[in-house]
Amino acid sequence: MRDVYVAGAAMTQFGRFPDRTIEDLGREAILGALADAGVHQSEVQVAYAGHARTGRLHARENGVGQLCCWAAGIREIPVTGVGNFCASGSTSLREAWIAVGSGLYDVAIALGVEKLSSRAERGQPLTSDGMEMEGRLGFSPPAFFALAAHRYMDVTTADRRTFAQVAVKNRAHAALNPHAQYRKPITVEEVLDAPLVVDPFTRLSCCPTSDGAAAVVLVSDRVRAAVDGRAAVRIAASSLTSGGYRGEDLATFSIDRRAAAIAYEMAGFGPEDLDLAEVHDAFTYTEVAHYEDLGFCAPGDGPRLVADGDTALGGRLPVSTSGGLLSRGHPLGATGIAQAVEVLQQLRGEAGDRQVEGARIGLAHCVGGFLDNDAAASAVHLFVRE
Amino acid sequence: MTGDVRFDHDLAGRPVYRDDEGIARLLGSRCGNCGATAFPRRTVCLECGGDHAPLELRGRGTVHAAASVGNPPAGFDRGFRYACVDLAEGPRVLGPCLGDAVEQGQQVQAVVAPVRDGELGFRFSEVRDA
Repeated sequence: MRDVYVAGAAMTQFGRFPDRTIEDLGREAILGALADAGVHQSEVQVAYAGHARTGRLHARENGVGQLCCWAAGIREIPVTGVGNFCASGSTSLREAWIAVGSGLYDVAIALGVEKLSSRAERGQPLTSDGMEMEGRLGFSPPAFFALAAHRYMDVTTADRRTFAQVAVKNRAHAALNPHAQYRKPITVEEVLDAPLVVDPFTRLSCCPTSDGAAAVVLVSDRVRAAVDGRAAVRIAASSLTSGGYRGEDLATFSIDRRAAAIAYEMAGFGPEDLDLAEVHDAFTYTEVAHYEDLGFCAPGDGPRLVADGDTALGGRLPVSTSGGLLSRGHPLGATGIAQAVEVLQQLRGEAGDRQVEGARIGLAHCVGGFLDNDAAASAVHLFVRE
Repeated sequence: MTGDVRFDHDLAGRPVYRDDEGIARLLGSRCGNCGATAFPRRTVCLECGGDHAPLELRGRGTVHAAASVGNPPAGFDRGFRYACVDLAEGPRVLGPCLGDAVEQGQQVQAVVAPVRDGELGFRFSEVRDA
């Protein structure tokens, strides 16, 4: 594999936009990323588009990539739609990385886009692909992770306040992110007192329904040297794995441990070298579990990182500096790319009020879907400023 | 009512339980090669690649975790306890409970009961051993 660099990145505002279309959101993200990279439409050689719910909601199971490229003035290139649940964007990034790293292409776009605000079941938990029987028996993503959160509370010192503090932290980060969906600060009491979804999650413990798009431009070293005067940010690792379906303790997730281990091995460094991380805080509990599963701390130590402020901006290892899924928002397919946008901006020193001083190495992680009582897909990407 | 399956699992139409006078006997499978069990029934073993044969499970197990659903999903008109149950024969099942008292560590039994949209499915009920 050749070295692959992130030459440019952009995201739309995340939120609920009844008047914006998938085409409109995708076009904005692609044009923004191209402008940021200093790359013209005609130079893009391949594109991947992550989207998870567009078939069910917008009658566009296929062709979202072609549509958004067409809208941005790109045609006659290979375009692939990428579906991997909440990890669709991360998987789109991975496919673009493989495309450039393999030597087949020099310039790739990885797009992620989703428009969830039009779904009919307003106020009710999102359903999940492939869980038809389970859905008839009451399954929902918050119910599944609530079970895991209860196990986590059994085996660690975590309690409801621990989880609530993650929501408060990520909202405080989002207050510094102009593209975030929710930016108004909240308190632990407000999180605990919000309407109950599935105990221990209240409405403020769960990521919102969101619309949005994000895109990155990946280039080979040869192209990077020609166009980019700014700091070079290289993708040091990409990993993707699926579930083990082994009926393990729900407290934490081996699928994420596996994805992380593969990524650190590929990169040749470990979690102790990270300056920041974007993880899959679809629920407050999942961020804390990720601290352990991604190796930020020893097993059982997740709650201490929250209590000590280690993962807040200014702490030892800031996590969800963008505001995370919880507050930046979670338009499913867009999230993995939006994480890459945040990491790129941080490593380039362009994160404004959210800047992690001297950030050089960042991690982005998404996990998604369900199958046989496990998650279905987990992806970790590592980025290094050279 | 006995012997009838009440609803199908996904498009393949695989049955998931047998109504044994109100007790839900879960229709799983076991690998003929290594003995691994599964629910719902599967064809190929995840452990060894061997062939699974149907195996009716008692529907009895231990609660690994339980949580209270406050905001019910579409088709459920009220909240319920939701449980992750490790069945005695080995497989894990997620499902709604009967009543509010099911707790982690308890023994439960799957019983036939209304689920989404009032359709008959199964729920877990506490077992109180005599």
